Amino acid sequence: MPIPSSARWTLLLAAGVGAVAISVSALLSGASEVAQRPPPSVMRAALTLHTTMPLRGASLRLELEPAAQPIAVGVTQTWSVLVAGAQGAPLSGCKVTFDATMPEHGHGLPTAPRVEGESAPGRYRLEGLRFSMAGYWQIEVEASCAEGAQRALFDLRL
Amino acid sequence: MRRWWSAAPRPGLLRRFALVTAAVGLVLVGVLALNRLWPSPWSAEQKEQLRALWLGSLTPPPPDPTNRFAADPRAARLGAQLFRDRRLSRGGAIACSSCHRPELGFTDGLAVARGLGGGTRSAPSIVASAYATAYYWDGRRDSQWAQALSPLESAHEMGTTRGAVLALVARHYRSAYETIFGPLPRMEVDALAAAGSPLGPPDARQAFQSLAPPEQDALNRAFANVGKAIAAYQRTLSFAPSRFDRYVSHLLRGHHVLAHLTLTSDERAGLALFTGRANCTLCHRGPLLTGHEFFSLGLPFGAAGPDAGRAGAFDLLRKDPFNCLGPYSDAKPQACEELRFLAEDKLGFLANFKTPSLRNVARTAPYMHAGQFATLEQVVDHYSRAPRVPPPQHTDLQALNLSEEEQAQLVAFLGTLTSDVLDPHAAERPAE
Repeated sequence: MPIPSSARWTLLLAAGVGAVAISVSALLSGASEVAQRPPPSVMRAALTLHTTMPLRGASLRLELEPAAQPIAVGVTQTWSVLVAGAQGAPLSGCKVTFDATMPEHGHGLPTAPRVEGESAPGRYRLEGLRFSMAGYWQIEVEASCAEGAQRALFDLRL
Repeated sequence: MRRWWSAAPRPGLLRRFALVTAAVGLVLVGVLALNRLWPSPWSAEQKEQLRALWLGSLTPPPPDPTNRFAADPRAARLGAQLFRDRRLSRGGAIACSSCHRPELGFTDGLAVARGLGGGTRSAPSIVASAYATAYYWDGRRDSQWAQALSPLESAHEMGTTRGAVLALVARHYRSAYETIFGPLPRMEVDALAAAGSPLGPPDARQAFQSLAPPEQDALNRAFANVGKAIAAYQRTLSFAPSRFDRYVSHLLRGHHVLAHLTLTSDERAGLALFTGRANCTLCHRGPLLTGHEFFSLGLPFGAAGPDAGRAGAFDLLRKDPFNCLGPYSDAKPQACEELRFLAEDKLGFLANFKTPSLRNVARTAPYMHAGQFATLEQVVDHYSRAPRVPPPQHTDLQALNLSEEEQAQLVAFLGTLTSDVLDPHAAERPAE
């Protein structure tokens, strides 16, 4: 049975309305990458030991444990500084200092982080640390213990 | 039997209508297909960089533990009225809004602020300042409300005393104030007006010193509350999406044609420089295009001469009775990280100034902390050349050596960050 001409036009109208509706809704909603949670302003970071040298007495092991990976820029955070003897035995009661600079820009940290106690033997809580910029940071850590004193330099690429 | 389609009274009309609808549908489907097929100029990683700068990535302002009225809408309304009240200044000519003018992106369009006298630094915008952790160009205040108090008693700004401020509140805002904060100090209005201030001219100091310590404390507390109301208002100011934000929205939705139509090719090139070779996002990062940190740019001096910047702010901040650790702050000491871990290296912070937001930057000329540069072209040229400065100053900048064309592209991009400021209290007026 042939379709009457008015029916053809009606079908075309329906198709047109459908196309408009689909296009408009697609344009308004989109592929919705937008709906994803925005990532925090962080980048992949690399923290590596550059040099370590004994300043006095027995040589010690110094390690840094960031609050979280990736290391955030612009967020005040708490790190752990791990101090151990050469054989790996944790050392308590040491005086630990931490500083960092950006040699390429000639400035240091925006805050003055410091160790506020030990969360476990040999694990020192470094509070108030914030990196003001992404880029290359040079970190200097010193621990002075009864057994000896050690300085370690770390490279951090944020 | 009549079919429903043959019931159409005027087949000609149906025909025309169907043709038009089909044509519009075809065009839209075409745009949609083009949108998807049009190549995006950005890699997936670059898109993430753009998303990080996009206003849609902005979360609500972080809580202000120093101000328990920060989110109180009654305090915000009172603050909006006070913000516009010229009677808050000595002589009654200057309100907060005289230097933070809504129509100029809450700045004043001047090189250095001008209140009752001339200042030495430029009035910064206060929009979205709730996201900062340090206030003023040098960070000598650590909360929005502590900042809001300082201009009131500064001789070259509003030149009043906390006593006079509280007398005004007692006369015109008593019920609004007391509903939120409890009773004002138990003093007659005239006694309040004459109570003076620990800062300012000798007679004001003398009047304040003659009060008993509990009275002084009550005045300080009420004065702090005035700042907290103004801060609650400032907290409600936000940026509307700019053309740049619409560009990123289109891009993230995969609407590449619409995105393409939103920015010019110069503006897109400027954006690519901004996030790429020009390294702008090292400091101007996040949806407010600032990390709120302090840097030294090796700038020429302003009209007032050398300025120590951040290096001069540490002692001022520590001594401020309205700081995070002070008796008028609502924060637990543990929450005062900025103050507890304040850097002590004064030389390293010489001539460091706070990175401002770049939103509305095209509207907030002149530029830098003392209005040293009249135009964005001059600003970009400075970054491109990164002039060396003699010690003890230093510059954190490295020369970019941008071509003239690239500099013009960066300036063009900065113009896409212009938007309205949303002020839910724009209609508030000072109380009669």
